[in-house]
Amino acid sequence: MKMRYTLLLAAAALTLSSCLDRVPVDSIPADGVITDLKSAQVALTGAYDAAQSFEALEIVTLNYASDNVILFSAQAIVVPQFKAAGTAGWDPTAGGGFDSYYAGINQSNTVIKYLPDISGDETKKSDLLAQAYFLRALAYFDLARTYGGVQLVLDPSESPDNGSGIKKSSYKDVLGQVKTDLTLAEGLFGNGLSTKAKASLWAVYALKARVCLYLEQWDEAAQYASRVIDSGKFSLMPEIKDVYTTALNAESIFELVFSSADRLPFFTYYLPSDKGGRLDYIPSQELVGELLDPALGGKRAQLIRDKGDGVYVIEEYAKQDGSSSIPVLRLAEQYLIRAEARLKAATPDLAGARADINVIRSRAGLPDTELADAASLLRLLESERRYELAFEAHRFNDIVRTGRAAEVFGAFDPIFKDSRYWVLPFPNNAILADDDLEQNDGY
Amino acid sequence: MSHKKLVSILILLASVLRVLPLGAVEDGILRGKIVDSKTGAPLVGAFVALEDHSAGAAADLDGEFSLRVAANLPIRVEVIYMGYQTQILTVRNFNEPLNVALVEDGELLNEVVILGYAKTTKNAMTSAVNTVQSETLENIQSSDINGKIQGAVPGLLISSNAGIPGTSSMVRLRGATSISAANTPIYIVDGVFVNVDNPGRTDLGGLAIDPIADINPEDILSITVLKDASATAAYGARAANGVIIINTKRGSYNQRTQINFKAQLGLSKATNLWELVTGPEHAEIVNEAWKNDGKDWAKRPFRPTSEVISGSPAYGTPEEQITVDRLSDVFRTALQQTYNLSVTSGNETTSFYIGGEYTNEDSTLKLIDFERMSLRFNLDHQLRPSLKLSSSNAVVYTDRHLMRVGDGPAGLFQAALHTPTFQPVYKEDGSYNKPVAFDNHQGILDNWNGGSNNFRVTNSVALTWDIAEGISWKSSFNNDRSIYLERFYYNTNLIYGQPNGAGVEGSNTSNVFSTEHLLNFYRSFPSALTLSSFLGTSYQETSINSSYINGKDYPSDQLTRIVSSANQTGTSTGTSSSLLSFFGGANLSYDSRYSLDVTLRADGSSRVGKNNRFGYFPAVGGAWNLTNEKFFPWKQTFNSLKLKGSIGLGGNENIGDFASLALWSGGSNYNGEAGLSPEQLGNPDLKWETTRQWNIGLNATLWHQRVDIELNYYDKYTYDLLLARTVPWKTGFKSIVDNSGEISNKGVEFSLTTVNLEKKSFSWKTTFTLAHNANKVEKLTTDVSGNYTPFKLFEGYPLYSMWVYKYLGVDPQTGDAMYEDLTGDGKITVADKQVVGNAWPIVEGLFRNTFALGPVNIDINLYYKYGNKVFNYTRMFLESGGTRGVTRSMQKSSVNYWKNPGDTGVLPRPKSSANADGSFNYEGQSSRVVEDGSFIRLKNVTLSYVLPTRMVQKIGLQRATVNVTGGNLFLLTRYTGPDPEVNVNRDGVNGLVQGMDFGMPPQPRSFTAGINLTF
Repeated sequence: MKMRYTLLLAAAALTLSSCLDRVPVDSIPADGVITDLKSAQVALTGAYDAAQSFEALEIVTLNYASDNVILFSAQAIVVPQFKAAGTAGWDPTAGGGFDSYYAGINQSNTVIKYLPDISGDETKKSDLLAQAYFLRALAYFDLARTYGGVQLVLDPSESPDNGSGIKKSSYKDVLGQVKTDLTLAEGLFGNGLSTKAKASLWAVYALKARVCLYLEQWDEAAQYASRVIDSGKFSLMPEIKDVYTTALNAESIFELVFSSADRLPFFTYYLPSDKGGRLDYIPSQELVGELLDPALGGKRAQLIRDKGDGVYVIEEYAKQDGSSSIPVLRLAEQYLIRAEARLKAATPDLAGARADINVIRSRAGLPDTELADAASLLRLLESERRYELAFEAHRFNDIVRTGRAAEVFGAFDPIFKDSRYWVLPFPNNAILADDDLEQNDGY
Repeated sequence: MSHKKLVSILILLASVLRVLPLGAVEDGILRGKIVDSKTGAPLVGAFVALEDHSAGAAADLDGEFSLRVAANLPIRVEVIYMGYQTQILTVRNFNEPLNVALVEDGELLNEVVILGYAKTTKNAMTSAVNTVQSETLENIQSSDINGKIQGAVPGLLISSNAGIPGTSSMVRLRGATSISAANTPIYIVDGVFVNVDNPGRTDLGGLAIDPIADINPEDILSITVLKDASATAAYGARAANGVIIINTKRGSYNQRTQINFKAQLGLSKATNLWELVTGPEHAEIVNEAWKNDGKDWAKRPFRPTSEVISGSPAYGTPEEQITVDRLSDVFRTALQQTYNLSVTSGNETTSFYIGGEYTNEDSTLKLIDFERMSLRFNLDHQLRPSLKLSSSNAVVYTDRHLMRVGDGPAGLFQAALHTPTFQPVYKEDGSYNKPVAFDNHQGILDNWNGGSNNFRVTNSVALTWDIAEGISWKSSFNNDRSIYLERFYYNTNLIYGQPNGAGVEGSNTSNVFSTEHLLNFYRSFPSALTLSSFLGTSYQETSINSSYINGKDYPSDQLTRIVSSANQTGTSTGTSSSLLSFFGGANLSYDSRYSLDVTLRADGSSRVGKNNRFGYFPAVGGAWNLTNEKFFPWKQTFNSLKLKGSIGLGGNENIGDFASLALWSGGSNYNGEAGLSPEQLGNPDLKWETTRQWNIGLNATLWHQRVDIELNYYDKYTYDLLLARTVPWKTGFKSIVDNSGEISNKGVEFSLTTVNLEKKSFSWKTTFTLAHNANKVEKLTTDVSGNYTPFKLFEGYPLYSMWVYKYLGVDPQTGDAMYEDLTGDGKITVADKQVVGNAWPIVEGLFRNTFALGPVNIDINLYYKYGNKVFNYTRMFLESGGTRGVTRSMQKSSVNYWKNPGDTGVLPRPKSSANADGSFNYEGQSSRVVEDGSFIRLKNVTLSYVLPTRMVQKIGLQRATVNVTGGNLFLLTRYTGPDPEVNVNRDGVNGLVQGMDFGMPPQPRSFTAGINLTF
């Protein structure tokens, strides 16, 4: 009896011991995730998911950084208040989305590393690889315009030591890397356009045009913008409101789509409480005044809305079910890029630039501009960009990259006269976590 | 005589008496009462027997007995009660009641107690352990045990998070040993580990469901708190935070049936709420800030509505503003009721306890309540003289109406407290006015629809086999299952219900199965040596599964279930863990003078890395009872004086179930396609947190047990902290869980119980407890940030430290705030933030006095905390000096700001723009809102009256008591908010945020009346 009991116990103990190996139900082991085309596709979908996160943070952060958007609870333009640890007032973007860019980059890096080794249809492989390069380029571009120079990590992280020793590259070098990735993607993409919800050759051209503008490579910028504009694949929507009410519209080149099951959180940031949001941010009173001015904003007053008590709220991204898209690249911007490139080219093309600006003004219901000198046109262009792309994270960098921050933002706070504050600080915790990362000067 | 022997004799006696016909000679009936010599309390179950053991009887609830005696007078009787000195008396007359006062047997207390797994004698105990008996809990009004034992056990710090029934408290035993793993002690009910993880998923804005509220306190017989390593080591990998052992009531053999009915009815009210500014005051301050910011005065918010400027709304002049009181709309006088009915009985082989309960408590904040129905059935049955079957079972159903309370726009409390007072409740068209980020408080009151219920069953079946004298085997199989259902429906009048209604319904099922097998050995040797030892194994498996469905777009506000919604989404997931353990221990005691304990446990857990699966936790303890030494000089003064010491290890494995694995997870979808993303980096070397603890203590009983002192000093050192160690963010990850960091806790615990007066008709007893704990993070590779910026963890500072700018008051000349410039660079930057305090009290405890005046009992219980800081986040919002413009309300103190040069003792002048040094007048992270949270609270005053026995017996009762209790009658504190004991539950991943007041209702004042009847 006792013997049998002992045996039973021993057997039980053995069984129990193996019970200590438990496996999660909603995760899989990290090694060998990408083994075939299907799993590569799935990993790439994850990279788009990451892009949804970092692009959303990019827009909230850079809109707020500029003089276009303010915190509702602070009711003042607080452009310089990018204290790394956050400051008075509740700001979910304190420090920006630094970590989410690298999460996306790591995801793209994984695809870029493992995809070439799997077998499968080569065209399909090239297409997936090109998308991965594009998404990595997008993340590094946004990092550069938010923080200036950042660390370039091009391999997937399989241990916490990945990238150890990599220091910040310069702003120019990061944009150079972005261009390299885009050039690789350009060579890999076919010229089809199956969905604007994903990267395509046209998205590569459009982003390259923007990168060249930032790099002040005017001819290339104009050339890539022209490729998009002249492709015949895209056309301006009749009204600017169509841009944000209709997903995947004719004007869109690449957008991140959301649905009620995969929601863009902007409705909580931008909508008032009676529409289900918590109204963290509102357009600045200065911008509201200008957008409402028929001679300045024109029909772009559609971008904002009086919530009923004289307080204006952002109407873009206002779909209450969270299904608004993020228009990452759209045709209107390409006209404005080309206009700027034409104005700033070694041999300026004033007529061409004016025509481009008037395309945008005419959609806004404004008369054609008759301005004939480059400086005035450039100042007009700055305003047009401010209104046309008001809530799409362009204003801050437009002012900074054109060297106007001391003047424009400095009017709100003298600290902006110091060019060190034209980039955001890295989050304090990111500095503490990485010996290779130095805080931006001045912070 | 050992307790065991005594009991077996009693059992034998009783059964013999039943069998033998006693009717032959009937000489008379001996009646009487047996009480405690010190307290006069009836000794229920004390046994009166003839000296020859031919007859006997047990005392009832009043300590009264009646014994039929078939013998000629005079007779000699023995009066026996466990833990008391046996008395032998001579009875010469049946007419005279035999009233006996037994003296507690302090010196020879060799009662066998079960401490966790070990059987030991009280005398041989080497560890720091406190037991709270149910009588002590009786007068404290709380629907859960944490509320009942607050302060009663030195070293066990319990902070109620909110004055809301059924929600969580912060519980810390001897400090906190962990940063990211749990810091709460483990709870063992009737030998079974109880899962106390919050099952809810819906964010309640800082409120959390507390599964401890699934236990009906009325079912509890005793609560034992194991504190030092020697006591907790037997619980190995989960022992680092201490162990709370709860035993529920059971019947005893040969007990007459007792029916007990108890009812309590009470009212409670939140007092001392915030006072807010009037509408005109609000406008005045905002305009003042506008002016001080140098903004365009024409665009000031509070100006005549006729002055229209596009994009800059005008709210009217300050004088035109109305003042709306929202706070009184959301609070109410709340009703609490609880009814308990229990039956205890037993014959010679079977005994049972059945307890049923209904509790219904409303919160003082509307829309929240807590209802509990529970049934407990405990059974013991002697299958054979040496084989006992025991079973403990509880079925509990709790039903809660829940409301999001604090943080977040949809919170009721936020809406009522933070919506500016100048804003009307309704718009002109009669619809709810929602001018700011919050929902409309009246809209919430009218339309909120949500709550949860939990059905929980715990079963335990155990078989105990007395193999031979002193050797027993016990196998138990235990099961703890709960199904938690949550349902919220937001109609179109609520923020969450935009645009066409939204609903969420979810379930969380938790199953914990465990089995335990234990061999106990207990023997006293003739050489005055006693050996007690145990050897055992246990296995526990936990699995948790949840599924949630969301519905959006409903055809009508009448239809509230997901089936009616147009768009439905859902999710489900699960997790599991297991723990396999082997343990053993021995206690050797000699001559009631020396005692030595040795314990070892080996735990294997699925949660830790493959390379470190098993952890080993040894402990050793010793005790020396000086009074039993021949040389001890003050035997007259000391009834006992014991020195004890212990050292050992305990673990903590309460991390995520799969923290050691490198994983990719699903759910990262895009454009309707399923995606996978990296979730975490792996760490196969991940292991337990280990806490080394030593304890030295002293127990003394003096002057005929009128003074009882217990003093302990402990030193805990935790290493291999399970910490989300930050990794360079460029990897795409922010952290990896590994073992780094060290924390120490050192403390003193003191308790003093005195019988100050002891007269026949009057007695007065005092209990005083005091506990001090010093917590310090000894080693940390990188600073760790809490979910709220003021809470940050640094090496060299305690957990729950508050890291802010040090506020130096107002510059009397400029009216601007001054902060300490640590770096001396003339700028106020992040580098100037400093730790200004922490949430730990320097001391805390209770001071409790009980008076017995004949049938009247008075219990006055004061609870105090001294030296803890509270980050008054609510005040940070409410005292914002106009920087929040028209978006948030302000409290009355805001009007007292700097106005003229030379003003002192005032708030800075309203201004939102930066000062010359880069600081802000109304900086949120400032020591200005870090307050002293010390308090003394009159936790309860209870008056109870035992109705005269003769009167109640006429109506068939054995005993009847009526009582009234006042809860929280006064609060003595310098804290400026309503209650310093509010603590938002916003721990998140890193448990760093404690001592933060953020939108929680205060502890209410309550009055309760009750009756307690025994049949």
